[in-house]
Amino acid sequence: MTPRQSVFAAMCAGLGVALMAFALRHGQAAVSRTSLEHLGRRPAAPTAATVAMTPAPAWPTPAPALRLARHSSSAAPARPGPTRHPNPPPAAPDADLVPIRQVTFDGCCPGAWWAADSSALHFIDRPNGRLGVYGVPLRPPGSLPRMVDTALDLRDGGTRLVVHPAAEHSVVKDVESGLEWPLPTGGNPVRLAPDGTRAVWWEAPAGRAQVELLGKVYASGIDGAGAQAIGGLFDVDVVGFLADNVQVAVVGRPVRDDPAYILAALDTRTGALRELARGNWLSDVVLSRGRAWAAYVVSLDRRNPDANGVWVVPTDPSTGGPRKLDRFGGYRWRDDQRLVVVPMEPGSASHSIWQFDAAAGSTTRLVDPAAVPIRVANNDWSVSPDGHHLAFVAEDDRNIWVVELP
Amino acid sequence: MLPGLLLAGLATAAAAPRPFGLPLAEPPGPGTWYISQSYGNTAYAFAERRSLYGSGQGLHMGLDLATACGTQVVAIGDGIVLGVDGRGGSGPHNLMIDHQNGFVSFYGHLLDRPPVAPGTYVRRGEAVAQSGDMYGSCHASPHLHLEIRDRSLVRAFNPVTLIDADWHSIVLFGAAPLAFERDLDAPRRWQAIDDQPPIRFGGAPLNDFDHPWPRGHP
Repeated sequence: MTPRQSVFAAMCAGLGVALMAFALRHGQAAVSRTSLEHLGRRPAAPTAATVAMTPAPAWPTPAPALRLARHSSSAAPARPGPTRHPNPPPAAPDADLVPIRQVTFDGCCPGAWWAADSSALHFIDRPNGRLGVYGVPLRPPGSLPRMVDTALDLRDGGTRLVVHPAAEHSVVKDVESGLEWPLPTGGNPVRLAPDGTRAVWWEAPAGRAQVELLGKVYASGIDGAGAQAIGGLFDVDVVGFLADNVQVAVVGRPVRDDPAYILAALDTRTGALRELARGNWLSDVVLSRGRAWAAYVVSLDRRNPDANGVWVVPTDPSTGGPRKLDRFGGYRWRDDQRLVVVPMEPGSASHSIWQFDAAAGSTTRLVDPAAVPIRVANNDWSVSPDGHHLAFVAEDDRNIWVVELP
Repeated sequence: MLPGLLLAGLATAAAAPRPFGLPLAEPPGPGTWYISQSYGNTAYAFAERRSLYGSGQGLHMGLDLATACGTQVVAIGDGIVLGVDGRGGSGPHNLMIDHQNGFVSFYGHLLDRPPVAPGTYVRRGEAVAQSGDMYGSCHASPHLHLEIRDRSLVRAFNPVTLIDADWHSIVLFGAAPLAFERDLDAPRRWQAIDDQPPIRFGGAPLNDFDHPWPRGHP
């Protein structure tokens, strides 16, 4: 598996579901390679015979919400992760109280995603044999999960259009009207413009062909009219539409046998390509919520080690160039400018939470691991659409916990 | 070895703290190495369950660590070199080490023929090979494929449960979590890097789910 195929793998399942939902809610702004594959291969909803609407099942009684005071020596009665950090770093100046609480129990559940209004966390589960999307509200604390959807359609607002995969013609469905129509995608992954006016798809062969064959990108109107090739790159991936709903962010190799990838804005009408960033094995691209910025990773560059790391770049190159973060790890956009980072620090007793302001170029610690000693499992975490909370699966109990972000 | 003794040996080794170390000497990071595919029920393996991973019950039989060609590969534990460029695939070159505790480590997609002869005793952390690229170029898919099998070479185990490392910190990489294929009939099962089933080579598929999510290729 190539480094970039890892992105595919990382988003095809698990929290990829969440990202797909996020993409649908936010006009695909935050989806990278795999979620797009994900959209392109969107499974049909389970049949009514297999997923019946049922009342909420019985759940274990939740514990009360916790509020951990910074610098308090009193340990919380229950908390995720290991014990307090043995050598707590200096306290962040901007967080007097950091609330954290457990919102699911009984080891539930991987791959959660946020409701569009940030009021609840959603996840797929099958308690008592009742498969569905369940939602647990943040308020009041201690709320129990309830089934919110049996169709696994994962449409939580935002765009009304979804794409179902098919061998030759993907099917676009307006979930409100029920209308369906084909797109001549050849079974390739598809992205739709958040405003519902344009569609784009691209050739994504598997295996060695992925990096050896030029992958063409195609665009059309939302009804498939005017479909035409607009460009191509080796190992190409379309990250998502930019804010104008005309350009798409694409990643790929200009040269076949060179691991230098570019991140570029491709005009779906003219085919004009504007390079935004370039780097060795450039991957893991995710657009900010308003699509003003993109975050990405450059890796395995032995000749230029300083290039390796997490970067951000404005999607309008007239406003600036790439900026490298001073920390490396998992990252999610909090809004259109602030990127939340959970650094990769093997051996640390607790994971910490940081924020990088893309415009200012400044880094702030959001959560002191001495006060909130979290341990995230599987890089399974997300920031609420309103930016107020971070949800994560805890390593020790595999339940979902929520941290309030200052 | 008799089957009973083998099982006893496996049980003893498995009961101990994770007995092995990482196969790469450098710490993880964007400039050194990172996990590009987990062991087990990955989404990628599901897509390739009837082709690339068909012999491994549809699952990814090892751990893929993306790293630049020529990165030093080290033995995960003391042992005796069992094979060099033997059967087992994962070309262009591979290496097997018998750790004398019921487990054999397998290092695939190596750059060159490893400079250790079968029968050589190697120590944990000793350089034994250089990483390569599964397609023979160093620009297509540079990574180390690591498997841990039993001595019969018929079963493979999750290296994460046998290698002493801070895996949940190591996987803090990029914009998305680790992804595993979901069985909607058991949606919580096999969804974590440290919760994956053992593999019996040649056995029936484990991930040919009736209701997969996402569906991927039929």
